[in-house]
Amino acid sequence: MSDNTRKKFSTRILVFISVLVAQGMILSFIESMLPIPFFVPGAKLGLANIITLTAIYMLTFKQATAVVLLRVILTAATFGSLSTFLYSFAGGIFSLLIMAAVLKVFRNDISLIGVSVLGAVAHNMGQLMVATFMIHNILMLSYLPLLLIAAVPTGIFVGIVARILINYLERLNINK
Amino acid sequence: MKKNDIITIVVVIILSLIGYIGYQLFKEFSGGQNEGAQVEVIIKDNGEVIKSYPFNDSTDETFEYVDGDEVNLVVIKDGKVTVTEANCRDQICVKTRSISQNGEIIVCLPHKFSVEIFSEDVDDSVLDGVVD
Repeated sequence: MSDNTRKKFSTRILVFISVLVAQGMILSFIESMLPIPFFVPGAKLGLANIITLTAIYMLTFKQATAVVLLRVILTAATFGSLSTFLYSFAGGIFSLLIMAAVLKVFRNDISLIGVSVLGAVAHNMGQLMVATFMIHNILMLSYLPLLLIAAVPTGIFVGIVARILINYLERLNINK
Repeated sequence: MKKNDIITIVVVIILSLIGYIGYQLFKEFSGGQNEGAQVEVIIKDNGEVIKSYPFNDSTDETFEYVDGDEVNLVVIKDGKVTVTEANCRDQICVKTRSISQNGEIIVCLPHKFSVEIFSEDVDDSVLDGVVD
C-alpha cells in the first residue's frame, strides 16, 4: 500500500486481485447454498464481504473496486440471474464505499470489526433498497431495524475472519 | 476490538431500536385498528394490486397466486394472514410469521410478490387504547 511509486498493476497485484475475485466468487456460491439464517428478505451473511474488506485493506481503492465489480459480475454470470446481480451489486458497492471511507478516515482508531459492521449495515441497506424498488412497496422498509440488528453479528464475524486472513496475506508482501 | 468498535456497534443497535419503535408507532397510528376502520388484505404483484380482501377475525379466504411457474398460497384465517406455500427458492415468505396488524407485510422477493394489511379510517374515530 505504501509503495505507490511502483507501477499500479504489477503482475503480483494482478494475480492477487484474481485470487481475491476467485475467493469472493466461491464464498458467494457457498453462501447461496447455506440455508438462510434470517427470515428477513435482504439479509445475508455477506461472506463475500471478507474479500471486499481484505481488498480495501491491502490494495488501493481502484483495485478494491475492481475486485468487487469483477466478483459481482462473474458471480451473477456463473451462478445467478439478473435480479441476484442487482442485489449483490447494490450490496457490494455500498459496503465497498462505506468501508473504504471509514478505513480512510479512521484507519488507526477503529479495528476491522467496526469497519465490517458498518460494511454489513451498508450491504444490507443496499439490498433493502433494491428489494424496495423491485417489489414497489415502501412497507419493505419495515425490515430496516431487523436488517440493522442482523448486521452486527455478521459484521463481527466478517471482521474477525478478515483480520485472520489479512495477517496471513501480509506475509506475502504483494507490493514487492 | 477498540473502543470505537464498541461505539459503532452500540450506535447501530440504537438506530435499529429507534427504527423498531418508529415502525411500531407507524403501525399504531397510521389508520390504526380502530372501530370502523376499513381493514384490507392487499396482495400485490410487482407493485400492482392483484387482489384485496376486507379483513377481520372471521375472514376465511385462500388465494393462490400463479404467475407462470411462480406459485404462492395465501391463507387468511382467524384474523391472521399467512403464506403457507410457495415454490420460491428462499422460502422466506413461508417462514415469515403470520401478520395481523395494519402496516405489516409478507414479501416474496424472488416472485416480486407481497401481501400487506392496510387499514383506512372511514370515520375519524378516536384512538382507542390498543392493549396487546
